[in-house]
Amino acid sequence: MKISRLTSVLLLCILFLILVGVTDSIYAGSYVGSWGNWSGSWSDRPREGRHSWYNYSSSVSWWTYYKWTVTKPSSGRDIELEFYDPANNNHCDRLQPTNLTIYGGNWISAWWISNQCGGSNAELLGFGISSSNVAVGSTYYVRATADILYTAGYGGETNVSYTCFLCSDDWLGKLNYDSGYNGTSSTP
Amino acid sequence: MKSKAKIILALMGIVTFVFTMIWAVFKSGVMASVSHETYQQATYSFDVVLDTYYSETGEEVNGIRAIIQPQLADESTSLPSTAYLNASQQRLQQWVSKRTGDELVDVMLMFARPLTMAEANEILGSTNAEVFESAVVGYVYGVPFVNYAVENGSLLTRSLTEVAESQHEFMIEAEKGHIEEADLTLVGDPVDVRGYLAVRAWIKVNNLNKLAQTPEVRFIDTTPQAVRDQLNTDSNWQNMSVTWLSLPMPVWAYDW
Repeated sequence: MKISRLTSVLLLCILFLILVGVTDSIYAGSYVGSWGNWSGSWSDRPREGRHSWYNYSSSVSWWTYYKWTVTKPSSGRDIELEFYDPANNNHCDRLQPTNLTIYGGNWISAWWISNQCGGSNAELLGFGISSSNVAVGSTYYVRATADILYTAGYGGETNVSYTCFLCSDDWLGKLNYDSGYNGTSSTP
Repeated sequence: MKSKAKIILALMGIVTFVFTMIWAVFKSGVMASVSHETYQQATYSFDVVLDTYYSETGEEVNGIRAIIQPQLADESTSLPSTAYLNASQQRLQQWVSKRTGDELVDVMLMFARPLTMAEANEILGSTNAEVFESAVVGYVYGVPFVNYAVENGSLLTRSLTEVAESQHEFMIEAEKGHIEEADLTLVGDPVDVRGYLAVRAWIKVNNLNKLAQTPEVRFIDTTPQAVRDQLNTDSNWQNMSVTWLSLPMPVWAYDW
């Protein structure tokens, strides 16, 4: 059976589309940070945690883990997942958060995204903590995803801060990625 | 005469100067006091903060972000109080009789049970809703989860199968030992996505009653639009776009 050139081209196109579709749902690379101490100075901050990072062709997923080991969070505390470098207002508009998955129960009250710098795209995903539903010694985790809007240049960073309405941030840690949005290192 | 004119001119100058100073002080005081505000209503409160940023061309863009805290049945639950739900329902009825039918209002629809994308879209499509936020609930290895997402279309676009596929990372995290084994239930389907339990949407006023009478709709929360109405008439925030208006979706308060 002879396949015409047109049929071959069509078949190749279909194969290409299928591959693109499949690879879009398979992460191109992942990064796992070590479990360790979050930075920060607030007495009611989560003391321990970790990062995981999944890089796809059009989006990234960022897992962050939190354990309060000393005391419960005070009421009105928020956590900000900053998909940019807030200290230098850098890496704006690259990664736009769109999605937050909360696991384990009712420990988050509300969520939001916010435009912090650059153009009209948001870079920050925040969520409020339901302090009465957080227990000392238990581990809590979320998965936040962001769309990749632009290339990563020479790489960049994302940051985690502990905060509250009208408070300055208590910086907890960060994750670095390379020019291909692959996670490379983190604190913790 | 000349000296009288001089006195009048001097007085006018002093009055102008004093008024200018008062205006400047008053204006700067207003500017300083409107970067944030907390409002307390009978059944909810909300925080407002300026969400100002600089565009790439250096232009200052003024927006505001607000977070609503509904009065809860008790502190440990996400269930709104009966008073809160009653007030929301009364507001809906007032709007139906007083607002223009074509006016779009920002509301949250809480479904009576988790719905598939097709079921939710049937309800939303029949009222020409414009959905901008959703909450999907489910279990992965027995761990309950809620997935909040920004929606950009008139209807929902992610099937429950797609939501389930996005949970493959959980399995990797579990395999790596990041999730405590004691929390995992390793029997049955690893991922059990129950469905859409809540959405935020722009709805035309003349469709509110129809939605409220739909059996799959548990209740319609009108508080987001009530907050927008208040912000629109508050001199501190007039003419500023609301970049995000956050309202907790009480997904943990019901069985699913």
